[in-house]
Amino acid sequence: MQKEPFVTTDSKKKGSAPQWPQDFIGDITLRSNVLLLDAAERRFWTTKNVSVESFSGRASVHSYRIGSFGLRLTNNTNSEYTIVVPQEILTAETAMRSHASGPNSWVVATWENPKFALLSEYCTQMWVKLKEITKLPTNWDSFGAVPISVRTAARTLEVLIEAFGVPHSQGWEQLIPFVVPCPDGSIQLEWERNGKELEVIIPPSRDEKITLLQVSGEGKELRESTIDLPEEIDQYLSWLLKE
Amino acid sequence: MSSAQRGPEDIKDEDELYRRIHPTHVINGKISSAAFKQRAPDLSVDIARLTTPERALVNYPNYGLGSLVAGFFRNLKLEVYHAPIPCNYGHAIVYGKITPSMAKMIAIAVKLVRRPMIKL
Repeated sequence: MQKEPFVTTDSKKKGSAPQWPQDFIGDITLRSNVLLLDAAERRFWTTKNVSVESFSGRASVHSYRIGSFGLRLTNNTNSEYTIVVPQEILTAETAMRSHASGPNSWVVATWENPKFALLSEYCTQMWVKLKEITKLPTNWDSFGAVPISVRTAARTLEVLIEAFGVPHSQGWEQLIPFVVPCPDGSIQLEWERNGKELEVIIPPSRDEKITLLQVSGEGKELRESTIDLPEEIDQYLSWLLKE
Repeated sequence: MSSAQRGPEDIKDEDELYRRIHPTHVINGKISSAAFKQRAPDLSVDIARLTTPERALVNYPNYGLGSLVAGFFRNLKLEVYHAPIPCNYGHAIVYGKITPSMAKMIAIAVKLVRRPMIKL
């Protein structure tokens, strides 16, 4: 069954160019049924007797700040699990650092395409890696590599958010890629499933397209493609996940 | 053409070439193609018969070391030539644009002769 996204925003853009300061963010909707199936189940091991107490939010027009926004799950033993979206989450330079207050879950936003994604505990390693590689210094590979910019990491998050929305039946863990820095400042995502590999290279410049490499036939068949938008990744992941 | 000065050594197709591998580029014991995605078209390597693995990693003890014969690069239409530098006579250049497909082919073919000492 196709999963709904955890969180959706009603984003109405003025014009076609992705100039985020002019974008409008409308009401934000948390889908409680999805939360019950995923977040609550992972926290409490069951969806029985779990109540979602409250959550709502509204983003200010043009300000990219959310005043009060969060959710709290409570089960029948009164254990609580709270996820709070920090106020700064949609500002350009803090998006990478923002995360949920829950111990092992993360709320992530990207600023060019304002969306939220709840990345649960099995994503922690990937998320930590993405943050770590933005700290690599100039010449980190000893051959003159350039640092990985936060903007490249944010664009990578956009790809990941789209990747986690791909319909599949093999468990979300199957969609967690390796995150690898490239000496030219790109970030590479690598998946290996069913004897196939998919590499996605997110370049540092938005003027450059995202490059994909499909590898099959024990490494003998290689096919390069490019995409303009992160959401175009779904067909490639479907190829990878197809047995 | 790279500006690196060509050296006197003739590099044969069967000559092994060493390339330092950053710890982030070794995943589950395999080298990622990301290791070969550079901005510049010249890839620095060391000619194995003119150095040792220890010397290739002398200032980078935590790095891994990959090895591949020169002929593999030439089959990809890349140029390979000796380019000694003051502190490293065995230095060589693999010259030419490396596409993502080529980087993957190189990554598959490279032998990891030294694993990185740390995992990143």
